[in-house]
Amino acid sequence: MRAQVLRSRSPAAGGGGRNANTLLMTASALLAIAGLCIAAYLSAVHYVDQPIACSSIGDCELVNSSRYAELAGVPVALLGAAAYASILALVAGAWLRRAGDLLLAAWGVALGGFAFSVYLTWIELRVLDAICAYCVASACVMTALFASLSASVLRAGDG
Amino acid sequence: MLAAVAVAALAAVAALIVLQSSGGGSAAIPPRVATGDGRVLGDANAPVTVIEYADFQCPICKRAETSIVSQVERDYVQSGQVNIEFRMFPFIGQDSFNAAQAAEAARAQGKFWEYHDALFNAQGAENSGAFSYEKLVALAQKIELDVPKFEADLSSNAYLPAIQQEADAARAAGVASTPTFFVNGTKIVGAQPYSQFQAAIDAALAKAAPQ
Repeated sequence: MRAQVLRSRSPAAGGGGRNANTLLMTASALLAIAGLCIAAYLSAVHYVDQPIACSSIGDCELVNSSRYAELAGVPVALLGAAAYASILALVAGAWLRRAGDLLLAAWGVALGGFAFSVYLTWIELRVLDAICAYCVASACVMTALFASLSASVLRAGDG
Repeated sequence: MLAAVAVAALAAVAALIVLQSSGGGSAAIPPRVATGDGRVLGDANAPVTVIEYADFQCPICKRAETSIVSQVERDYVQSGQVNIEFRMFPFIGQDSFNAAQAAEAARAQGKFWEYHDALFNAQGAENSGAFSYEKLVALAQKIELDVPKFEADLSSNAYLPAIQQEADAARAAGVASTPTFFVNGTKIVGAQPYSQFQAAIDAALAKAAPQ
């Protein structure tokens, strides 16, 4: 159903709506790339013998030494990288194939990422009493990504 | 459809949170095979020294104890090639400082490593009170320390300045997180694969061997 809605907004659709869609999808892709860069960096420093380059801003080392930095032995940053990569792939697929189901899937992953970011930020503030600048940046990117994809999904639904 | 996707996404996140909350309890530290004097495990004159900076609240430090330190102990410390020196780097919160002081009080009674293992095995969530005064005293009872002396040492905060100095010196030496190891000066940050420690120790042994 949504796939049809999106198709109606494909190149033949009105210029204003198409431009807004292009803007939202481009913004989502750029945000996913930004988030992927942050998460990939944090994943890399988790495995490579290097300290995080942010010692003067917040307590990244504390946050990344905590039990909340891993989930069943997998670094949380790596899960974040996987989430951003899948959002990027789904957004690209949704845009290129005008597939509403892929857009909806991207929105679902972003919703999950947003909810998990809220949880992790709460852990930082209330349990660890420490803030990692990279984690905050990632949470902001995921929030913006969720907002941008929500707008895309709502626009598709209105159509 | 939108609601179904939302419910599925939130259910997945809830499952991840439950998984994470129930995790962290890595295996208990296996029984020691080497003997320790103070905070040094093994022969004090061994050609290679592995210094470990750790925080008793740090779950990755606990994992390093089971996956790295125990193996080094079995493969190198027992044979007298390596000794392991534990250094305090309390930085996670008040419980970290409580535990470090208690470990020093146990060292004063010659039971540092027993108490060290008891602390890691009793580890809870960060800053949750897992190392409150009462719990530290209970651990002291468990390993049969002289409890009145332990309590007197702990409540005096006598060890706190030295612990703080040790942590400051570590920061000056470039330690920023736990666990951080130095194998005869070669720095290894984090609970890296055991093979990395083996390579560093073998290289240090080769260097220390008479030509």
